[in-house]
Amino acid sequence: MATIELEALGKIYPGGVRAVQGASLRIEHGEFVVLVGPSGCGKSTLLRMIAGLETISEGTLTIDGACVNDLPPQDRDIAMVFQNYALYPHMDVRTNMAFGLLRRRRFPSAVRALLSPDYAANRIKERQEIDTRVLSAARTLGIEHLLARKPAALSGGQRQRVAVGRAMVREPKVFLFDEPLSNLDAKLRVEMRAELRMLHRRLGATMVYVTHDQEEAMSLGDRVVVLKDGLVQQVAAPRQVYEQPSNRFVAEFVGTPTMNMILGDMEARATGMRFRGQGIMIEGVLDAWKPFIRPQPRPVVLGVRPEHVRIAGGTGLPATVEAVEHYGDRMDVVLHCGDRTLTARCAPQPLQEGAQVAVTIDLAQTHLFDPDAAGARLRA
Amino acid sequence: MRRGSRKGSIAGRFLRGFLAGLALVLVALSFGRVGWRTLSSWRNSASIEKELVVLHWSGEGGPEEDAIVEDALRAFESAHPGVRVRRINPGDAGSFYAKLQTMLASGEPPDLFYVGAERVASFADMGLLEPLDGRLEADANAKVSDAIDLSAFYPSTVAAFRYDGNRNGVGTLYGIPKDFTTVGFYYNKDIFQKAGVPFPTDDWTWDDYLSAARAIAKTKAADGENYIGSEFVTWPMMVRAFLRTEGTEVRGENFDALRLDAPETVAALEKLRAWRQDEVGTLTSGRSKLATGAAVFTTGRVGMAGPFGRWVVPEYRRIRDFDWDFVPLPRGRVRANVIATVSWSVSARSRHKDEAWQLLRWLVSPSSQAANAKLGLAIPTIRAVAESPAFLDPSQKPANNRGYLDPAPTAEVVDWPADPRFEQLLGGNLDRALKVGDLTLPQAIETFKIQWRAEKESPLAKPGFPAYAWAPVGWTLGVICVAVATALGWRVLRPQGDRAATRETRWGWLLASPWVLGFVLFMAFPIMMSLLLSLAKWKGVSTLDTATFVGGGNYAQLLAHDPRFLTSLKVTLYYTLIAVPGGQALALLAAVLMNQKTRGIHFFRAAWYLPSVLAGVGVAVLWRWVFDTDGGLMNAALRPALALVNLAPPDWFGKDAAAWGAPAFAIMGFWSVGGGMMIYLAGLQSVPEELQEAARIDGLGPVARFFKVTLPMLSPVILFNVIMSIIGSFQVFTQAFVMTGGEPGDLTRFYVLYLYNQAFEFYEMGYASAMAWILLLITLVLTLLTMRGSRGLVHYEGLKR
Repeated sequence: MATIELEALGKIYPGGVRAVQGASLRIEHGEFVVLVGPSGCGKSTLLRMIAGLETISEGTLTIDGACVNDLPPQDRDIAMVFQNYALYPHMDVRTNMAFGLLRRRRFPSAVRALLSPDYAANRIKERQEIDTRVLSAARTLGIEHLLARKPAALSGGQRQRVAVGRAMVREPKVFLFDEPLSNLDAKLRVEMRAELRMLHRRLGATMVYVTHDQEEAMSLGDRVVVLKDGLVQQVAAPRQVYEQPSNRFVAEFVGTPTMNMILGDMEARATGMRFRGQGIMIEGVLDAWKPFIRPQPRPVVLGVRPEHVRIAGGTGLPATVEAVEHYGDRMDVVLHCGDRTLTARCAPQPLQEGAQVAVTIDLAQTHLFDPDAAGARLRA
Repeated sequence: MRRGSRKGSIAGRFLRGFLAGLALVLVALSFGRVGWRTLSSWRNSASIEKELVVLHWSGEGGPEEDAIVEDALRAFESAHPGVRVRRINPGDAGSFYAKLQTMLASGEPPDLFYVGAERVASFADMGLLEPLDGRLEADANAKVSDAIDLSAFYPSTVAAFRYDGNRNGVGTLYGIPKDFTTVGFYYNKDIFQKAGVPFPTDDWTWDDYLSAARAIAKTKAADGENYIGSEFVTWPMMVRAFLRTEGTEVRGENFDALRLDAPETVAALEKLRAWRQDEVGTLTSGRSKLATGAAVFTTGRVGMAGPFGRWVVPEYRRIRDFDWDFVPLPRGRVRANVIATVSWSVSARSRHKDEAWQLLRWLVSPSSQAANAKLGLAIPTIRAVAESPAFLDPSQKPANNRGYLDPAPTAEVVDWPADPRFEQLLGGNLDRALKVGDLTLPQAIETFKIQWRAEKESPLAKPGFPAYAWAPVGWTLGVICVAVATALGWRVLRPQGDRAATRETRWGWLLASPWVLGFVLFMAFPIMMSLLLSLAKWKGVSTLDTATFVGGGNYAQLLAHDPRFLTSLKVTLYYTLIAVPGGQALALLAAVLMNQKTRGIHFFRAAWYLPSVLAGVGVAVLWRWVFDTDGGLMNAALRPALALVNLAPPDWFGKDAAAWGAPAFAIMGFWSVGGGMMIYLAGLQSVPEELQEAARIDGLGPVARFFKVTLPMLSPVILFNVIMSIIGSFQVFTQAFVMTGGEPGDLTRFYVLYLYNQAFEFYEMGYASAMAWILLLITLVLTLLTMRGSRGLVHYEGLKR
């Protein structure tokens, strides 16, 4: 268990490409932190910098209070699980798992035997300990029966377990995961997700996990770090990221279907707030917005999660049903409303394509963003 | 969709049709050429015009000799309407004999060709040469205007082409000598003056020779280095020339009675050995083919060079740095000299013998000889021409032309037995004592006697083997082949359930047919023939009907009675032992270096690979300078380093050849590890980067990562490269052929080189075929052993993804 501290960490590749800049973050003992973002956002680079596989161009990285910027990977007491598992194809599962432990010797056996009279005895004890650790990790992961096999004879899920097991037996301060589930099929991925979560609870170890899948990030992380173009966008618990995205990018990146973003003007009127834009007008009483919404219309981007677009029977914004996707427990409806489409998520109901419906949106459940490029969240 | 696929199939049909047509045209063209040749040869035999084929060489004579022969032939054509002459000049003597062999074996011999006196016995024994005495007599009786008058020739030159089935000099005449030479020494007049030694005279003795050489060896050149007294080439012919001046010989009355270990022979040889081996700087001798004796003289660092004939004169006339002259062979206990001569001979299988004889008369006529004499290359065989200004040209060096002519009346040809192995065995073994110095003279003589006895007493040498039953064997095999081909053809071409699949298959075979035909004709058929031939005794210079059936005789002789075969195997294995591990380690190391992501790495990869694409002979010529003992780059680099530990660099192809000869070739091979390197590089680049990273996190340093991760992942590639390199190491030929020719002795005679010697120098095609099959077995066994032995070490899992 360990704390990890990133202080203004940056990576500049030869040629001047900045993969990561100014990443600051404190990861607590036993925390499960997920780095998430679209491809090329720098999440893997950041993880590899923590691992020591990439050099750190700027800033400091501290593990348990000690700066490890210049330590090679093997001295950082970390273990890493790779996307393609990176199992040694020429070794059986047992050796693969034990390999990291076997190799931690400074001198050849003969020299050690000379230096230490108890060498032989220690060696046997050491071996037994390694065996015990491998076995217990294998038991935890349910791969005991695979120990004698070679990786080529394993399925994807089994290989994944071995890769995790290899990290476990090392009992490292920090576990690092680099998109470990992305090569598995969808069902297996969900299963493994739950297993990892349980494993984390059981081990209580500090884990840093990289994924491009926001759903995976939300379901796994104690906290989620959203990255874009090498910059940290938001660091927060999954629920907070969902409910209070710090900017337009985070709001759109997290959640499926994507949040509806409506361009328009917001103004304060005597009766309450009024939003108008793209042929859509919404009114409502919302005191919380008073500090930054004035009577003069202000250009904003209004964000509405699909589940907050209600299809009502009576009055509301008139809309046409364009497409319907049934999921059994719920349905997604693509609506034409005003000058644009809106996505709504609702309980299953009989809706035909082309049907005329009315839509209501509660302003209290919407998000307001700056219409500029940064798209910062407008709210006190 | 339907229309699209329909269109695609029309385009596809067109393409297939086009390709099939192309394939057929190619096949037709390649076979058409052969057919056309056959056809035109029929037409030729039917027409009135007769075509003579003349085969000759122009090694030292160069383009001038080529032009002189050409002029003579064209003149003959215009003087003899109705006869056309086609001339073939493959280049030097070596290529000439190779070409002659293939022409003879194919049953289309040249009508007229050069024959060196040393080959008369073996060629006559094989019945290749037309006896000429009858024709001379007929000409004399018919009083032909240009009849050859043998009495005008130097008698010994004519005697050289007589052979009675046992020895040279008497019996049937098989060729008319076109030119000849006696031998002696060329000396550097400038060095003689510097050393204060009087110029040698025509009646000098070996004592004079030796004291001159010793005096020169004590003289320093301008750069402070001592001159070398003399280059003495220890070619078997020259050793025998030397022996004759000492009144002795290696043979007695004939080659069945050898006088090699007679006391006077041993004493004379011992003298030669002592001059070369026990004195520093007095004598040198072409230590190998590295520097042929003739070229050494042109460096201006040796006082004398020889014994050479007239043939070096065109080369020496280009010397500008010093003055030189010629002096005949010194006198020992007796005065003696030898001649080397080449004849024009008529093929026994010529279809136009009369015309060929006419042409022969034309080519050895006084006027032709006079034209030839201008080259300075050799002496006309007609005495009057030799004594005329055509040869005795005072404006050209050497001044002492009489030095060649005066010994001629008493000089005799150096004859050899019909079995060409005698000369090679004698030369090789004597060289071990005279040149290399790793055997004593008695040892060398003993080795020679054992090897020669093995050859003579070989069951294969005895007559009485039945003629090879080509007809039944050929018919049986032919029927089997046709049956197998039909069966296979039916299997692959028969209609299958699906019409489209049938068409697909038939088209496929049609398109592949050029390759299939090529494989059958140029691979399968020769392979089968060599298997049949390995059971035969067949001289490669006669047609196949002369072959006799010896069963497993070739194999038995090879495995049980041929010490040279075992030697060549040992040399090759020694080479393999060094070249394979060393070469692979180096290739891998180079690949690791070339796998770095450095700027300009592409240049380095290309540079490392470059030697692998260079032509073999050129590279070999280059390396023979590198390994030159005294002046070579290798020793120049090694000398200072080895001097620190008080060692001298090895005399690679000289006296250290037993230990260093094969390794020198291995070192040379290391230069071209580029091919293996490229394969390793591809292998290295397919090792996933993630594995390296995983290993880094597991705590492995760079070296441990290489041995624990990279190497196991690379193991299938290593196995492949090792097997290829083992196979390659058994096929070493070009380098050895060019650089040492297997010398000294048999110390660098690699397996394939010995095979070549058997096939193309001794013309033992059956024996050579047996060797080829044994080689195949050896490589097969070694490959299987390697694959078995590496089972636990090779991990194919890395290849699966």
